[in-house]
Amino acid sequence: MEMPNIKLQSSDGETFEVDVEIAKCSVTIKTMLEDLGMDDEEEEVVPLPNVNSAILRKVIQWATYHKDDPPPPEDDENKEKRTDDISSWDADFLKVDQGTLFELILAANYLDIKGLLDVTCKTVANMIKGKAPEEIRKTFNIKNDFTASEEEQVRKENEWCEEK
Amino acid sequence: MKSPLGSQLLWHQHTAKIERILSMAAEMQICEPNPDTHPKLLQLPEECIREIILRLSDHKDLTSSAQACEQMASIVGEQRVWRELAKFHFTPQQIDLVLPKDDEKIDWKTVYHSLKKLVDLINRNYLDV
Repeated sequence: MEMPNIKLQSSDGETFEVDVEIAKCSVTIKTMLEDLGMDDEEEEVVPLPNVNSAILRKVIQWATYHKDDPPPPEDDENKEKRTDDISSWDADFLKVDQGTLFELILAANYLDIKGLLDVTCKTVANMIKGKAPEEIRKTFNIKNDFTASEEEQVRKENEWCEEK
Repeated sequence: MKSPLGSQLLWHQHTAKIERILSMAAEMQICEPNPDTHPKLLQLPEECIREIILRLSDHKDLTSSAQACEQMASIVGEQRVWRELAKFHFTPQQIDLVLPKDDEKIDWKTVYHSLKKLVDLINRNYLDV
């Protein structure tokens, strides 16, 4: 039996036809469908005003590949969170420019897709690892907004941790 | 020709290895993103930046992030960040060892660093034996 499809509409008006089960990996969409009592038989269009078509296409690509993954653990403080194991498929999928990576984080956050939020945030965390503050600023185009005295203050606050 | 440094072959291999490492290191560079890139890290809502910070497992990376800018400093200053880091690295039994006994307020950054020192010390003593 074929899975019923629903239509997702991006902020710029493009519609995507997706298996309901794939779309439901987004808790936001799942809740919307349940709350609205949307009938699987009907041709419904779910508007997603916060996601543009380029990003929605990537999100659907990700969700389709991961459709048979076991559901993520409910525990918010789970330990897998900090390991840097990113599957090679995901690593390839996330070889994108920073703007796209951050847009994917925004979309994963808005659509409430735990797995996608996890892997995108891990990717950014990996870009921070091992870098000095100035290198972190350079990597993410961050302006140093500390005054000289504040900078000294923050440095001192963190210094004591390193003492043996 | 006799070499005072042992096998010439080995020596050449070492030199080749050093040259390879140096050339790899020279190629590594931080690519600054296009300044027009949108959105930027700091344009993300705070909850998203927190999700990223919560995925750092080395406290040195937390410290460096805090020194990068005010917004990250304020997130790294949150108790939750250090509590989760402590729970990631140490068992509940280890954490119990350093938790304040009476009603004293728990500072998780202090708890984390006390545990780290304690466990380092135990490991060092164990290795010395």
